[in-house]
Amino acid sequence: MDSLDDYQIPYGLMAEFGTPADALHAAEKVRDAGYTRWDVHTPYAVHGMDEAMGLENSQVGWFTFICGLCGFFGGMLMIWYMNSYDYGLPVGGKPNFSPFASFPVAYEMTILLGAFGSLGGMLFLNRLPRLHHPLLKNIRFAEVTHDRFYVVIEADDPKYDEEETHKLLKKTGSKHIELVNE
Amino acid sequence: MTAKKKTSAKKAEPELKLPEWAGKVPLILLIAGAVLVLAGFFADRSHFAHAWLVSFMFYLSICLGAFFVVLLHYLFDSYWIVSIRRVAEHLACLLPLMVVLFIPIAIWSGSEFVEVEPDAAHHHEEQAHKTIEATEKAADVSGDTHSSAHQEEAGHSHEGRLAFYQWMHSEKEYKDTGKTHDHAWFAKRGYLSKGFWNLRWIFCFAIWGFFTWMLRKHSLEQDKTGAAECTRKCRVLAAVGVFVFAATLTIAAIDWMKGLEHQWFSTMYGVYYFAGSVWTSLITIYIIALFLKKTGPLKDIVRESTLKDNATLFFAFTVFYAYIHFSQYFLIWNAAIPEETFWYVKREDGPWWNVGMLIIFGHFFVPFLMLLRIDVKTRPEVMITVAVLAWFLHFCDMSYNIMPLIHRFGGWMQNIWIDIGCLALMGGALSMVFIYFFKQHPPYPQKDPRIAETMGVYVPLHSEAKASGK
Repeated sequence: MDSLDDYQIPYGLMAEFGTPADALHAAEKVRDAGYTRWDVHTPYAVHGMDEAMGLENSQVGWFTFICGLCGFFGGMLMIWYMNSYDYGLPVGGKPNFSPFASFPVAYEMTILLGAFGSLGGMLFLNRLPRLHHPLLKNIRFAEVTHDRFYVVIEADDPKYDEEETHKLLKKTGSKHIELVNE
Repeated sequence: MTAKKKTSAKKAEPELKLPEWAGKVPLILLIAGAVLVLAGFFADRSHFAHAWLVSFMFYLSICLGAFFVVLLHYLFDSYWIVSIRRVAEHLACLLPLMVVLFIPIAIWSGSEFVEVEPDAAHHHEEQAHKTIEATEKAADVSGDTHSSAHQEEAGHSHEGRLAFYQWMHSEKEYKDTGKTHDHAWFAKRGYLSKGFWNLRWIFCFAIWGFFTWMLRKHSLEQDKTGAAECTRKCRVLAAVGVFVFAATLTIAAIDWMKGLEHQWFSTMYGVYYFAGSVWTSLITIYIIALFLKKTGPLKDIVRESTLKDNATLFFAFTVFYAYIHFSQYFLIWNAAIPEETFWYVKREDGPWWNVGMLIIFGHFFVPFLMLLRIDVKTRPEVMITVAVLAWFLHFCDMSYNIMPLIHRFGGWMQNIWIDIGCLALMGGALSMVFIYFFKQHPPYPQKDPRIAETMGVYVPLHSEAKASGK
């Protein structure tokens, strides 16, 4: 109890890799070991990483779909209410409300709310916005924007055990493994 | 892969091993179709002629769409099309051969044998009357004495039988008597003349023949030589070809289908036919590719991701078609000019209303919602269902364009066996030629620069290989 470090809570173990292929194979091993709360950080998108990490197809589509439907029917409802129900507006002898005339606007509304749904759903599922992340204060981790690849297993993971996890990461061939604190 | 292995593989691959029954299907279709067509010819000539046109336009759209896919590959240098390109090339090469199926249409194009279903005839008369009234009004306003002079002759000079392309009748009438009641034809006579029409269809088939066969020729040459020059030549062909394609497809759609009702106006008709064509063609290519993957020739070439990309493009065209057809309807509905609305008024009467609804839901909503999810695009049972739906709906779409001309109340359904006969005859004949083509040549472009990529094989660069010491 004499240094500040003793009071710190561990965030997780960070393993560094030099090539995307090494990071990919390490991810496969972590996936097979059954970890759930972990992530891979790379300078750019690595093809095949989704499969290597065992990630399912993103659920963002559902947000887009449902918001898009709301946009479509909301647009129709808005035009029906404004041009037909609340204040009838006859134009060129056509019915006050027609799905044809309303379609372009309803369609635009579908796209607008669909886009909002995608953005909102993405932020929600990624638990963003987030003001701080423990990895950001690690000086070595800054290399992730340059030419290094990191596999990070969080301490919250039910399978997490400082020694066992360390051994696993060592086995994947990482040259540098570090404990990151909160 | 060594050079020796490659040659041995090449020898083995071109043989298309079909199951016993599947090899006979085209022949059975051809014979059954020929019997029905012959019976249909004597049973109801005017229905037969229109049914022939429906199925001609149906198969033409598949071949044109395949031609477009080949052009698309060379224009965008897309890697995923490589594995299915030979299928598309063979389908496109059927285009010039379809002239054989078109010649009957060219022969009967001007002859007056078309009988219109009684109720429909009455409706047409009413509609023609309305149009004449409207044009007269317009002529009064603009002081266009020229056109009103011709409308004095209003009325039907023919004895209940119409020409297949009625404007050809008007042209003949004008040539014989110097007068015609058909103002719509008179206004468009610069384009709608028999000689020019003949010139146009000959030009279309010739130009399709040149581009499709040249594209395939270079592609086949590359199988032997592996020269990059072949790809370069094809790119030039495609860059010119895409403009020629747009022009000829529009001419074909307007001359052969829209020309049935020459009074009508729609600036979107060409792109409307294009959207439906590529849509049907993509699902046809998908099914052929799936079949060839299952039976062997394209087992390792067509991957899950190829099918997914193919289905995604099909999905995009589902939306594109809906957008185009909606726009055509919407503009006409919004402007509400009788010269334009009569086309849809006719198609909102009686049973055609239901066909219109079927097109809205079956051509757009059902496939759109079915294919929204990414994972269904590689599931054969879903995609085969979608394919059957797409073929059926495209047939309905073609019929929706052509059949209301002669049928208003149910006559279409009574004679549907003639349509089926025409579809079977042409389908059988074309698939026999397709299978012949396929057996003649390697099943995929073997030495295309992007073949490794499309197969998902990573070939290291020379510098990389050197660095790793191999």
